[in-house]
Amino acid sequence: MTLRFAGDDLDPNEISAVLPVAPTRAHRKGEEFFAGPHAGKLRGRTGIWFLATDRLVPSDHLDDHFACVEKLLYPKAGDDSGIKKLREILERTHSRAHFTCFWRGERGEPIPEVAVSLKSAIQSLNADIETDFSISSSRRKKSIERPMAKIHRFEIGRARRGGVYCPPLDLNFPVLHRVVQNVSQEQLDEIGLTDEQPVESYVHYTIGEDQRFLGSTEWTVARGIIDAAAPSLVIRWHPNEELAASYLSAIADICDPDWNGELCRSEDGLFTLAERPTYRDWPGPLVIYLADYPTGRPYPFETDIWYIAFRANGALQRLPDYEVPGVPNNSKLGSGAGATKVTRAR
Amino acid sequence: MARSRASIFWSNPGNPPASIARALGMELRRFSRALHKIKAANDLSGADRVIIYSDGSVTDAQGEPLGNLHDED
Repeated sequence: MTLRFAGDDLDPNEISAVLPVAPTRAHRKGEEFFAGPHAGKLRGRTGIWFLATDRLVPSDHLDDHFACVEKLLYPKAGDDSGIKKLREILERTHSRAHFTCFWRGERGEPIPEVAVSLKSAIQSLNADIETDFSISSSRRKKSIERPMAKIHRFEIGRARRGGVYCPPLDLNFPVLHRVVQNVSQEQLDEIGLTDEQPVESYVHYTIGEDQRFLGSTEWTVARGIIDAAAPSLVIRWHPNEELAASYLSAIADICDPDWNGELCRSEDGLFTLAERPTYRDWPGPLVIYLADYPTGRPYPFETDIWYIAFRANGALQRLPDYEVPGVPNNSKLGSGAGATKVTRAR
Repeated sequence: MARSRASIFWSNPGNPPASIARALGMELRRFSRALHKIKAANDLSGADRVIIYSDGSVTDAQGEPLGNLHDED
């Protein structure tokens, strides 16, 4: 929950003199203030005294945040002297008070209601209150409801052969595309998605040749990921559908409900595209091509791993985490100047 | 606020879709709460248009810096 007093003529020190708490942010109009290590110093658009209760109240229950604000406005029961002082400041400085409530609930949870006593304080300050309440739709819950006999939750798309060459398997990985998507409000309205917001220059990465996106799209072949905020991507070869689907299912179980993976087939085999976090010591998001394949020798469960990883500019990146300590890299693998083949016993 | 190499992820009024949070590498609830706080701290309503960049910075419709989503815990 947030509480703010704002106006071009407002001196936030006057509000601080009334309310017994340090504000999250306070500045006069035009005054420079520190907005955080990423944002740095900014200049106040207007005079503001702003408080967010999430740092004061260690609770996800909105009622606790209501109680906190009520206690600030009425430190003693029946004493409205603070409210009167605030109202005088607001009137004199032509400022306004605003309350906002933010709440995200799970399906089945009751949507909270603003406490009556707090509504009374809001009215006394001639303030407005804005609520942003929503229920998240959990795709994970839906998948649990599916029949357990269903193995494949992932449709198999079509991929175009012609990406990175993997010498030990003598196959080419699919082409990775960067897709920039734009969806206008008119396009959303046309298909009945009136509650969705338009999309401007949203970037997707896909190995699916037949992937369809709403709106207009611009496709380019991607060697690396040039979008610094995007996650790293792993394009992995799989020997069969069961292993590929199990791999994606396992990732889906530990990712947020909106995670999407791709499963595609080209004439060279079956491949998945999955997001993964970018390690701090990597230069940025990477595209990692990987094949983990059983060799059956010298022991029945022995596998080989082959990988190659590209930085944003297409340069190669070594990934020791994908290598077995003590096993020398084998860089004689054709196109894989930085390609690595290691042997790992399971 | 340096923003020269960041690209625009979102430039619309209202709440961005979950895909924007994902693109920024943020958990959806944390992302929504951070944007809510940045708007409120700049005396904007939820319906006001803001621009979100790939580095997490947020500006108003005129490009005036409002804050950075990664600063809001």
